[in-house]
Amino acid sequence: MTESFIHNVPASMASGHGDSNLIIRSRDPSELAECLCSGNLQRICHVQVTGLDSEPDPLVEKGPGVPVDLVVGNPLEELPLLYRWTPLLTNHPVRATIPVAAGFSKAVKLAVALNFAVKLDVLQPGPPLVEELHRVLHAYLHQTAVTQPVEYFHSLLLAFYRRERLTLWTVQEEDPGLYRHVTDDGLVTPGRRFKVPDGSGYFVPEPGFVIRECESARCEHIEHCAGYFRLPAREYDCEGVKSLFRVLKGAAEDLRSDLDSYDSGSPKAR
Amino acid sequence: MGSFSLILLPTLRCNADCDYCFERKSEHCLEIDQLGIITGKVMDHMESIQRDSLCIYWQGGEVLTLPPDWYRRAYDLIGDMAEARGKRVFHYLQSNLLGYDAKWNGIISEMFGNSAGSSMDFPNLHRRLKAGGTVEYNLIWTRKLREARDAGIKVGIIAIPNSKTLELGAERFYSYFADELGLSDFQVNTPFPGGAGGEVKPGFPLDEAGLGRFLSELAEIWTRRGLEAGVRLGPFHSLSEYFLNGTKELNCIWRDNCANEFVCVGPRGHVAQCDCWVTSYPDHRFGNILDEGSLTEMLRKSGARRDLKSRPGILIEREDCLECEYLSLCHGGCPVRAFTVYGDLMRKDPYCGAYRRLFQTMENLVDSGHLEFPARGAGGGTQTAAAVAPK
Repeated sequence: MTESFIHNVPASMASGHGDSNLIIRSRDPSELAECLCSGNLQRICHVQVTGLDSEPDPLVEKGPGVPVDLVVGNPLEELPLLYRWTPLLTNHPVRATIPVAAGFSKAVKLAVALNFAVKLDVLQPGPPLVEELHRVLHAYLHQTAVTQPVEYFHSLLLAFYRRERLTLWTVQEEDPGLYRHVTDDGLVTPGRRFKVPDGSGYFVPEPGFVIRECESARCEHIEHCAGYFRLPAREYDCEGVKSLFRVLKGAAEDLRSDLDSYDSGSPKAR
Repeated sequence: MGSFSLILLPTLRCNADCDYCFERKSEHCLEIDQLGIITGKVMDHMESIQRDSLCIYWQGGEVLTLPPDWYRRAYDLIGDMAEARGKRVFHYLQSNLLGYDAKWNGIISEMFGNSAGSSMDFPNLHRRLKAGGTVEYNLIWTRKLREARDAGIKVGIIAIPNSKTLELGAERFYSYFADELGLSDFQVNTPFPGGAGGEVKPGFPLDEAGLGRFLSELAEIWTRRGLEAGVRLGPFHSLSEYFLNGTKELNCIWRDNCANEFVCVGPRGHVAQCDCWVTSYPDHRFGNILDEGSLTEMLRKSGARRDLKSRPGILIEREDCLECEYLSLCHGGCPVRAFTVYGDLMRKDPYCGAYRRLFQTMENLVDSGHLEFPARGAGGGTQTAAAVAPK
């Protein structure tokens, strides 16, 4: 059954997971380039560069078409380094995964300005970060300069617009039913949200285990959040992130309404 | 598999004596066998970076001071080498047209797709013949332009505003090119004090606010008069496409890093970022392609290129670019403009304020519905060297 998971593995262990679909990670672009030369490209979902301080050259020409995920560690410190990775765009779709930490909105602004897609790496943001998330969401929804998808906003907006069921677990590539994260020590884990509180290990959740709590709380966003923001700290106050859901839902409704009025030939819309 | 762009200066000889030129002239010309060596090394580099097509922007000096037969041999040589290596090559011509006559028609048609870029200012204060002034230059250039167009050559024009341009205003400027010359493809570049000093250079950069006002007014005039008439006016045309569609086909000065996009090679084999660096700033050259074994290695090792590549990241920390709402359009602007004005590569473009005003105007024109279509009627336009080089 393990073969059905997508394993996020260090490049040094990629060959040991030959039967799995893989996300291969390394700080060293040369190491990733080697994997792209020697590995089965069809099994490589994407490669992750986990440090931006190296040069992209080895990776630029290898495995054309394989998506590259630039994992930003410290958004404010590593911000200028994003520039050196733009040559990747010649041959690869490129995404910057940016942690939602103080000042992250600047990194998002630069990443989209460089034509990188963005994935917000978000755990359980407090009020200041929720406020910053709102600023990024506003830019994503309304600014002409933002022409790239910013996840999770982008997929969720489409899900609201299409009235589709889609959870953040899927969008954020953290669904424990689909993904396994292999640590640098080789430990296969369901991901960082499933660390036990004392940090001594991981628990493997049963399907729907946190959803029951959300259901009991009668959360209006259960269909899309599915308890994503209830981990790792179960006591997290979701009100801030709920406000983001509401903005996205409202934008999707506005979009649908605009398109409906356009389709119906309303003179106002024309 | 993308393309690689090369600005190639086969000679620095020039038949004009423009007093704002940033190039240090010489009579030296590239030999055909040297061109073969350069082409071979460029194609090696393309293979190492997996590019399948090469765009060569032929500039000078003045390119038409070499004879048509030189270009025919160059065209055949490059074509044969490209075919042998499975590459495609596209040639673009930038000329002052002073040396143009009917004997050029064959090679311009065959090699350059019957298309050429040229330059003229309004009013012309600085473009002069060697043995004459600006008036004579205008007379000859206008006649040559007419002859070239009569021969079916599609000519795109680059115009550099000067202090008098700003004084006369955008309407007069637009009318000169669109109405008097009947052009449907021209673009505005900005001047900078590159190269050796001279009487004119202290006048550059232009007043930033005045230039911003001029560009903004020109954008409005083009929207009102040019769009429907099919006039393609740069950079307004590409900016309108950006604000309408999000497409970024912008001039080199506004790309995220020009050092990732192209290099320039001079007639002695010197390699640098663009023609101003090659001809006037030896300390900023990357190396000499005729002397060194591999262009790829030269580019990789060059400290001058490393400085250029690091510039946008440094600007983000030193300047206010990250706060700018038009960061994605500009990235701090042109390094050669910054260097020639401030003597410091790590400064943003001295025309920052003018660009911002222009971007704001273009965005407003789109938002207000005045720019409703991406100027499809304007056709493809002539790809002048200015698409990649700040001449």
